[in-house]
Amino acid sequence: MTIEDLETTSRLHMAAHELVENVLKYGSSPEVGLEFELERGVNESIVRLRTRNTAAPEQLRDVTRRISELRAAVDPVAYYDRLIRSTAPMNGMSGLGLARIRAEAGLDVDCSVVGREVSIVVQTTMRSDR
Amino acid sequence: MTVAIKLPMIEEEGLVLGPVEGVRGRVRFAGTGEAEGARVLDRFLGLLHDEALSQELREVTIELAELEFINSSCLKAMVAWIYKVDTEGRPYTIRLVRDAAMHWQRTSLATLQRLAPEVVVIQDR
Repeated sequence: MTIEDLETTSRLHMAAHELVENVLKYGSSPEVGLEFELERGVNESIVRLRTRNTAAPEQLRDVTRRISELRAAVDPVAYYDRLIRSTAPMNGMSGLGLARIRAEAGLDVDCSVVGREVSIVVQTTMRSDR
Repeated sequence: MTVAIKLPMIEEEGLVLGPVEGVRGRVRFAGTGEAEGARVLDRFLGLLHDEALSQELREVTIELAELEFINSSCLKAMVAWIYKVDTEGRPYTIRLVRDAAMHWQRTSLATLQRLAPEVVVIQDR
């Protein structure tokens, strides 16, 4: 399978980098997962990236809150801009990765938590090969 | 040949950061900026800011066309620098020279310009 749409490839590249960084930053055990899925349809296919890692309870609450806010935002770019402005004077971690995936890469972002494991899924649709 | 802006050439963590020789206030970024590179970039931008102030530069140009990608940690370093310039009297403008063929450069540099439209100028190479 090849993704010949350079724009889609670049967006997925950005998302993969941000997701991997999140796993490395927040994962609390060596057991982590990164999956790439392609769900083929007749006219459109869904491309999906999924990470899995365990994390401390406060990290799980934080990522759930962040993604809930991100999904509730009517305008993801405006939300991202507000986040950037509010974190600009602060030192340390950026906290921008997931909002960047949504606003800059234009991908849908969601998560689920089971026990101490969080799974973050980002996905987009693309035209199926003819 | 002289180096008008006195900054170290830094090649670390996949990032190459350094002055363009003989061109006042012009620096070049190349490579890839991952999480580990954020600390390097943050330090470099601090030196660049101090140098721009001491030389009373009116504009600093960053050539980004060879910068393949930066993640959000490195982007945050640029956000912090731009915010500092914007909120401390706007002593100079920041010209970002991009390769518009790179998707991330189109979106991320537009983001930086929205943060401080009176400070950030985007130019295609």
